[in-house]
Amino acid sequence: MTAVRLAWRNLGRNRRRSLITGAAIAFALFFAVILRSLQLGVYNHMVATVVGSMSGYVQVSDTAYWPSQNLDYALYEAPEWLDELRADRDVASAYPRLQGFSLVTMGEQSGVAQWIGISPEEAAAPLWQARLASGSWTDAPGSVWLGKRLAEQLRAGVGDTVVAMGQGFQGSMAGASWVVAGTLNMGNPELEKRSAVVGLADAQEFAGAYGMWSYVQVTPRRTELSHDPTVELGAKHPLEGARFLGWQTRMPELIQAIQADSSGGKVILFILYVVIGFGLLGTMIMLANERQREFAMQLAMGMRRGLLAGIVFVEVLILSMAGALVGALLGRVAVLVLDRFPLRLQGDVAAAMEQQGWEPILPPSLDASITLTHAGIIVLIALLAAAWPLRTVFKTNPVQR
Amino acid sequence: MSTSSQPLLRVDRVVKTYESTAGPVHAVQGVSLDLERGAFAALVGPSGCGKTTLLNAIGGLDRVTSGQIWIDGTEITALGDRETIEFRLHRIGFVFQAYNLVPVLNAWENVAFVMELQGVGVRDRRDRAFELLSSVGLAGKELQRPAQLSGGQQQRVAVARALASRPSLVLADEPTANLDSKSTETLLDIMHELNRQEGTTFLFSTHDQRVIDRAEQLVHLEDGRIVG
Repeated sequence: MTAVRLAWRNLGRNRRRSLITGAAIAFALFFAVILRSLQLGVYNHMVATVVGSMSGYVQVSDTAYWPSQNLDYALYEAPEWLDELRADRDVASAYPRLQGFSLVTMGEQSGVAQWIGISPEEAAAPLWQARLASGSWTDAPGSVWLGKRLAEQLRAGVGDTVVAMGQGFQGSMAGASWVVAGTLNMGNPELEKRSAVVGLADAQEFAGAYGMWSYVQVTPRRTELSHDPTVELGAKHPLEGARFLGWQTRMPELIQAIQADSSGGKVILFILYVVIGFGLLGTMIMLANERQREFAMQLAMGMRRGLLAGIVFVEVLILSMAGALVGALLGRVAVLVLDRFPLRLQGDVAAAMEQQGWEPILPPSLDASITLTHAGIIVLIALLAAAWPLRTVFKTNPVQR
Repeated sequence: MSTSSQPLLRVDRVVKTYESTAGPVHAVQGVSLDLERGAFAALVGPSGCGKTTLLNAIGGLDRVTSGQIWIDGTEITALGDRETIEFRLHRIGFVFQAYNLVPVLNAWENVAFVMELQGVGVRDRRDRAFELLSSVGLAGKELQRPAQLSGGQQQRVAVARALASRPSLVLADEPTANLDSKSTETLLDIMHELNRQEGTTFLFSTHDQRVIDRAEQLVHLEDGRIVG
């Protein structure tokens, strides 16, 4: 109690310094939280748009399907197995798809499209409903929904007919004419340039792959299940000749890109923490020098060094935690605001991002562990800086009073 | 050593030598002295004669190079660090030249500080602190912080603090060095009165003539040796 009371009062002996130190901690944490939340948020956005809604966190496909994604390695339909998989409490959704590449033309315009055959259940899911930029979803056979940019490239609008030609199952010729029922916002420029979504039955007919799926796109309820889905989901729901693959295995280049970019962010944070760390150390050295006579006097009167060190430690702990609390609150509020109104990049940076297939926005991650982790780091730095006055306590001779 | 017939303080052939870059410094050279219970004594001599060094050694703040010091029957030179701290806490009061009050505590909390370290309950230490502040003429100033008190008042708080744990011995290192004449006289009156009333033994280190005039026993030091 003595330690806490004295520590609390000591904070008030130089209010301006305490406020400046607390503010430094608060602002460091504020910037760290925003920086890291934006960085991780962009990664989440990439994964959510490219992986989550398109190729899927987990795919169940023929053992030879990846990495070629060749239509010839399609699976035979297994509706009972699919029902069993969908009934699993760990599975949020499971949709079979058939997909491949073809030439799509309308009049004089043409482009390469990745055609994706999706089931009526998937088309009815909110995700696809929300993607509709124009037109409507319909069960009518022969309908196609084009990525917005592909539609622009083909100069195709709702009601127009496009022709698709390509290679079908086992070398067969694939060809069809589809009526544009709508255009899609895919949340990713690259996907918008190449996507042509059709009904699963139309896709099977187009490719001559009757009764076949390229893969089943699975969204687990727990994202950690995508790291190694074979272990849990695959063991529970085996399908002969097929395997469960997480996106991390299918897209190592995405992981590498995230890791490389993340390292840059960590270096910036490291520099921020080094600067703040030295600032705090300077404050602690001042504190120790100012109070050395007082330490000596208190030791002379019979105060144990351990208690004196405890007072200094609690003082730094209160200061750093108060600063961290303010920084965490400000950071959290800022992250929530940025989530509501995400930053949209402009100019060359935006163009470069779009070229790489990412939407040029910076949505923050709402993961509270970012705030907690960085609050912990900054409190730890402050406590490490407190080693200086603690060393002074243990080195002070009572005759120095 | 028995406490009944022996002096409160016995210093026996104490030597204190410091090592410095210029070679060893013999601050105290074989000093022996006795101080009876209830004494009002002063170590006197010019600056650098070893007064403060000897006072520090008596207070257990500094280790002696050789020799023994007994206080109230305990040989403090034979105690370990932890025991020395405990002994200081319960048996010795200190008054420092620069007052050295804790700036974030008010007057009564400063007086009660040592009692708090001893584990005395808050009510008891508050009562004792108020009583002591009253006895040093600071009734009504209990809630004021050091910065709100004059130098003389701060030193009176320091005296009250030194007496708070009812020590056997109060060591006062140049307690009047920063005070004007009036404050010095007031402080000396108070300490003398407490010495008479409570039988507390005071040992000053000083070269202030006003303190020397009031001391009942003088120990003259010169170059680390007793000269009279």
